[in-house]
Amino acid sequence: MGWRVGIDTGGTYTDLVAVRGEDRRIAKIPSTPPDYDQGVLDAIRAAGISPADIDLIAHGTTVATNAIIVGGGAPTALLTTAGFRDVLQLGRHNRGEPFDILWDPPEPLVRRRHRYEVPERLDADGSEVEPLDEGAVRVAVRHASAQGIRAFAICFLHSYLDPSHEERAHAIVLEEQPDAYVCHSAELLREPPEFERTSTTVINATLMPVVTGYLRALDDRLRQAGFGGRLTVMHSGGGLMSVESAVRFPARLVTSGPAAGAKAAEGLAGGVLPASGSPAAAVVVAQVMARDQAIDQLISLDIGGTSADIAVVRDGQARLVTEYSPQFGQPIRFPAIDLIAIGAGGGSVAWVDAGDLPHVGPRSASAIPGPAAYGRGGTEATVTDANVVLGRLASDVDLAGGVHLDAVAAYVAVSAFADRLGLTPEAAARGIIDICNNNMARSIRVVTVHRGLDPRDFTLVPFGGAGPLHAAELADLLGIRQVLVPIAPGVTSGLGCLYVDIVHDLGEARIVPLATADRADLQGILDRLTREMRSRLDEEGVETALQSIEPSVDLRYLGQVRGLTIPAPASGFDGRFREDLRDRFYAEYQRQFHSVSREIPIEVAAIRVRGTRITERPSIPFRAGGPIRATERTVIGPDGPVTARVLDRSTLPVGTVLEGPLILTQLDSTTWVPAGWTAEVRTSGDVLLTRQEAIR
Amino acid sequence: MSEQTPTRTGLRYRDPILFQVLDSALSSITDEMGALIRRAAFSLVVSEGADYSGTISDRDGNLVASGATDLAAHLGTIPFTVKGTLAWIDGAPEDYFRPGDVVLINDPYIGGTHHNDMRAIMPVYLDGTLAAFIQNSAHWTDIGGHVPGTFDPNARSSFGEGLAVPPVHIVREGVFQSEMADLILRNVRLAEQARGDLMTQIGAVRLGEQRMQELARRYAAETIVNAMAELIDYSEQLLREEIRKLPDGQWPVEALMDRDPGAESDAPIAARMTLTITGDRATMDFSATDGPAKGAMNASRAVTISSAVVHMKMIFPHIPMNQGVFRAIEFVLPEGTLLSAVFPAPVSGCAAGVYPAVGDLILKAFIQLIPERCMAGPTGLLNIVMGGVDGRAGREDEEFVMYLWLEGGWGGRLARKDNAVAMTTFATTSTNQPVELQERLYPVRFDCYRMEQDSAGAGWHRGGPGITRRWSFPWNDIVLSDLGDGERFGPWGYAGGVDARPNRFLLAPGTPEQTDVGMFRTNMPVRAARVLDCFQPGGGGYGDPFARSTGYVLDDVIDGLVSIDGAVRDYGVVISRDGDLFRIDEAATAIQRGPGHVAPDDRAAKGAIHD
Repeated sequence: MGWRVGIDTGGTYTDLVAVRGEDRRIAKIPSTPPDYDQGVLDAIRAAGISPADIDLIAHGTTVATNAIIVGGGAPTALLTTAGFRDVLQLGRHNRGEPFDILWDPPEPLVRRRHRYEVPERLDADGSEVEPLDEGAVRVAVRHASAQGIRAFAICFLHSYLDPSHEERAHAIVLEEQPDAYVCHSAELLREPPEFERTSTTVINATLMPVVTGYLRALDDRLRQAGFGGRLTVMHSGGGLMSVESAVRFPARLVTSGPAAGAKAAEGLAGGVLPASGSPAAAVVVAQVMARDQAIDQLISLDIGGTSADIAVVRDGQARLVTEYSPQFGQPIRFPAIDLIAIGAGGGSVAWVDAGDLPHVGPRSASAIPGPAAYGRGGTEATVTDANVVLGRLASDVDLAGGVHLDAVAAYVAVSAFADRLGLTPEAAARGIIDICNNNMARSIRVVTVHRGLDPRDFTLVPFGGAGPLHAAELADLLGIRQVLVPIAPGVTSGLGCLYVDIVHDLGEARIVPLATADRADLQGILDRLTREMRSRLDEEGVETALQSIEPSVDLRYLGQVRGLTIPAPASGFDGRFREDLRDRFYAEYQRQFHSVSREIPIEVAAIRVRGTRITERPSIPFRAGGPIRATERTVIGPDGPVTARVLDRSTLPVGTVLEGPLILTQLDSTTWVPAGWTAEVRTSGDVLLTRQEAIR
Repeated sequence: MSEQTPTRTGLRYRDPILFQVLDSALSSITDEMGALIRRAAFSLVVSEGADYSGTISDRDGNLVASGATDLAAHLGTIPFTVKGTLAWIDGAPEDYFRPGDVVLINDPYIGGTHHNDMRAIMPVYLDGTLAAFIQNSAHWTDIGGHVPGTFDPNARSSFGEGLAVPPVHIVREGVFQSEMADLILRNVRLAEQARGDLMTQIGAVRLGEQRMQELARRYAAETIVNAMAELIDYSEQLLREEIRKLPDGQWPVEALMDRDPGAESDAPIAARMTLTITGDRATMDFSATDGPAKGAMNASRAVTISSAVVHMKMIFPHIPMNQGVFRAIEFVLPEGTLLSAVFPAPVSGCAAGVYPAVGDLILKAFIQLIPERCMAGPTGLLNIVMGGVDGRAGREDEEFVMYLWLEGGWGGRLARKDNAVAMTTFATTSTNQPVELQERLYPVRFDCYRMEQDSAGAGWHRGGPGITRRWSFPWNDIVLSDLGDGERFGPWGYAGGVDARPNRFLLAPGTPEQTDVGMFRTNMPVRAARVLDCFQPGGGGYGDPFARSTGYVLDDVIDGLVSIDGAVRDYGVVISRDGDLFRIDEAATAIQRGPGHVAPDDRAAKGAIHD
C-alpha cells in the first residue's frame, strides 16, 4: 500500500498531509510562485516521501483563481450569435459600486475586437430560426488565429435547448486550428441566461491553456520523479476531479469566495484571494468533523495572513451556490461550496478615516513587510500587533516560518494608531480586535442570516494559525455558545484534500406545473441523469458500491424566476411525490421567505442529481504526552486585564476540562479561551470550548 | 463587547467601536431584506431587474440604513414616504401602526416615485415603544390604468396613471387583510404575479422587524435608538466636511428637457438650480425652474430631492446614505414648479425625464468645483411598456405585459479614462433582463443588443457608448407605450468634450413603413414581426477630443466603437485600413488636428482622489 497525499498550494504556504496505514506525515513549506509545481515537489520531499511510493495525490491549487484575479488567463476569442457580441461586456449592466462615479468595471476577459458575431439563431423553444453560417465561423477562427489566439469560447443564444450549432462551430474551430483550446457553453451548463453562461464559458476557455500547462507540467515532473499513482484535483464544489476533467472544465477550479466576501461584506470592487489554495478543503474537514461528532450546524472560519474564509455546514453538508464571481461581473455557474473570503486576517491594517472613525482592513501588511511585530520593517498597526499588545500572542510563541514576535515594535505601532483616536494603546488594541471580529461577524451573518439561518444555533470551527485566537470572542458577538478547535488547525487544507469525495453534478431543466407533473416523465429524467452520473463515476474509477446518488428538484411558484432546490427521495418519485414535494416546498419557503401562499400554483423547474464517492477519512491520531506545565500571563480581555494560565495543548490528556481565562499553545496555532468559557479535550483530540453563562 | 450607551457628550462618539458594530448590524438587516426580495420576487423587473429596496427608518421616518443593492431613486424618497404617511394619518403613530401591522402605499404625492413603485411599511416596537420603521419598495409590472404596464405619457393627471394607494393596512396585527388585497389586485393586470410580489414584500418587512427584535435582545432599545441618531449625525458631518473644503460662491445651472407632452408648444422645458456654498453649508435653490408641466414631465418634491441627494452620494460615495445627507443640504423648492408637483399633477415621467435633469443640475454645478469627482452628462432613461396577447403555441390567449429599459453610457471624467456602460443614475443598482428569459416569458425576439458605433460623446476622455436593442413580436400584433426624454438634447459634454448623440426609437427602420416612435406614445399598435429599433444614448465627453491620445482612438477603431470616418470627424485622427491592419497616419493627423488642442491637467485630480 502506498501513500495518499493531500497537498494544498496557497499563495503563501503549501500544506501537505500524507497517510499510509497508521503512518502520518505533515509538511508546511513556502509556496513557489509562479512555478507552483516546484512547491508541490518540495513539500513531498520535505515530508520525506518518495514519489514512487505514492498511490494518490489530491491537490488543491490556487492557479485558476489567481489567473482570473490577476488577469493571467490566456488571450481568448469568443464566438456569439450575430447581434450579441457585447453580452460579455454589458453583463447585467449593474455596478460593483453603484454610486461611485470613479468606479470602473474589470476589463472584459475577451476584447471586443476578438468577439466575433456568427449568423445563427434558435428560438426560445429550441427551434431553429436561422442555420449556422459555417463560413463565418471559419473567417472568425482564421482572423483570431492570425492574432496569435489559441483559446476559443463559443456561446450562442438558447443553446441550452439544442447544442448542435455550438457543437458544429466547436468542430470547425478544431478543423481550422487543430491545437486550439475550445469549449462551447452547452458542454458546461445547459441553462439560461446568456450572460452568465457566456461568462462561464469564457472563463473556462481562458483558463484552459493555463490549467492544462500547470497540470501537465506537474504531472510530468511527478512522473519523472517516479510517481506512478493517480493525480486528482480539488474543485470548488468540494469534490475531486481527474486531470482529464480539470483541463476540460478548469473554471470549476476557481473558488467561490473572493467576490462574494468582498462585495457582500466590504463593498470592494476587486476580489480577495482566499486564505488557502483550495478553501473548500477546510470546509470538507469541517463537514467530516460535523458528521463524526454529530454537530448539526457549524461555521468554518479559516483565518490566514491577509484574509479569512467563511463557510456554513448544516447536517454535515456545506451549502452550495450555483453561481459565484471571482471578481465583480464575472459569474461562474457551477455548483460551488458557498464561501466568503474577506480581507480580515492577521496582517489586516488598522487605520482612521476622515470622520475619525477606526477601521481594520481590508488592506493588509501581507507577508512583506508584515505586521510590525514581525520586525521586517512594518510600522502600521495590524491585528497581529493588537494580539501581541493584548498579551494573547507572546514573544515566546513561534509562528509558522520561524517568525519571532517583537512586542516593542507592536506596541509602538498600536500606540501611533491609538493617538489618532485619543485612546490608550491597550484600548486601541482592544478596538482593533473588536472591529476585526465585527467585520468577520458581518460576513458570518451574510452566510447565515442572509440565508435565513440563526448563527446562535451553530458551532464555530476555527482553522488557520489565527482562527482559534479570535473564535471565542467572535462567538460571543454572534451569540454562538460552542467553539470546536480542531487538533491541527494550521494544516487543515492539506488534510481536507484527502478527505474530499469525488463529486459531480448534473441537471436538466423541466418546466411543468407540479399539480399535473407526470410521475413517469420526471422519473424518466431522473433515471437518465442517474445513468449518466453512474457512467461518470465509473470513468473516475469509483466502484458501484461506493457511488452515492442524491436527487433534488428545483421548485418555484408559477411566474417566479428563482426558486428553491428541494431534496427528493433517493428511491425516486412515488405516488405521493406531488404532495411530499409541495409540503417540503411550503416549509422551506416559509423558513426562508417569511411568508407562504397556498393559492399560487407551484412549478417544477429542473431535476438535479449529485453523484458522490465517499472517501475513507484518515485521521490525525491523538496522543497526549509530556507533563502539564502552566505558566501565567496578563491578557487584556473584553472587560479589562485578567491573569490567564498558559498551557501547551499537546500535554493535555483526553477529558481535561479547564476554565478560562486560558491560552493553549501549539506549533501551528494559539487558542484564546476568555473568562466565561471552558475548554474540554475530546477523544478526537479536538478541544471544545463552551460558553458557561448567558451572554450579556 | 461591553454594553454601553453611546452618548454625544465629550468625545463625539464615546464608543466608536459600538457605533461600528451597530452600523454593521443594521446594514446586515437591510442587505438581508434585499436578498429576500430578489430571490423570492415574481416579476422579472424585480427578480432580474433588481428594481427594489429595503430600508430602516427611525420613528420619525428619518432614513437610517439601506441595503447595498437598493435602487438609488427609492432611497432618496423613502424618508418622504414614512414621514408622508405619518403626516397623512390621524392621531398618534402608535394608534395607527400596531405591532404586527403592515401598511401599503404607492402614492407619489405622499413621498412615492411613480405609481408602479409599491411600498410596504412595518413598525418596530422595542420594549413596547415605537422605535423604528422597516420599509421596502418594489416595482410592480402593472398597477392598472389605461396602458398595459401603466406608464402613460399622455395622462393629464394622476387619475390616468394607474391605481393610487394611499396608506392602507394590508396586515393588521399579523392578520392578512384579504379584502384590501383583493381590491388592489382586482385593479391590476397580471394579478397573480402581483400577489406573489405582495407576499414577498410582506415577508421582507417581517424579516426586518424580526431581526430588529433579535438585535434588541443583545443591545438595549435605547442604545439602538441612539445609534440610529448617531449614524445620521455621522453622515451629515462627513458631508459638511466635504462642503467645507469647497470654495464659497454661487453657481447657477440649467438642464433642458425635450418638451412637455401635454403642452401645445414644442418648446423645451427647463429645470434650474443655484448652488450656494457658504462654509459647510450648501443650499440648492430650484425656484427658477419652469412651472408645472401639463403632461407627465413632473416630479414630486420627494423625487427631486431624492435625485439631488443620490447624485451627491455619487460624488461623495464614502458617505453612508441616510438622513444625514439630506440634513447637510438646504433645499429651496417652492410649490408651483415641475420639480414640486402636487396631487393630481401627472408624474409618470419623473423617472425618465425629471430625475435625470435634476441629476444634471447637481453634476453641472459640482463639476465646476471638483471635476475630479464628477462626470460629464450620463445617459437618461426611456420607459417602454408593451402588452397584448401572447399568441405562441400553448399560450394563444395569455395576456402579457413587458417592461423594457435600456442602459447607456456614463459621462467622461477627468480622473479616469473614458467611462463604461451603465444604467441611468435613477437605478444604478438595477440589472438588465436577459434576452433568453425575456424571450421565454414574452412573445418577443431580439435581433441585437449591442454598443453602437460612434455613439459615445467624443472627448479627451470619451463617455461610455450608447446601446441599441432591436426586437420584434413575431406572433401577434401588440400595443406599445413609451415615456422618456433626450431625443432632442443628448447627454452633455464638458471642458471641450462633445455632447453624445440623442435618443432614437424607430418602428420598421429602413422600410417604407419607417415611423419615428419618439418618446410619448400611448398604446401605439405594432404589427406582428415589425422591427423596433431603440437607441439609448452614450455619455458626454470630457475635454477636447482633438487632444485625445491617438493610440486610444486607434484602439476604439479596432474594437469597432469608433468608425474610421468618426475618428477623423470627432477626433481628428486619420486612420487607414489594410485588411486587418489599422494604421495611424501621423502626418495627416497633425494637419487634421491643427494647433492649440490641450489635454486637461489631471495630475492634481489623480493625486486628490488617491485616498
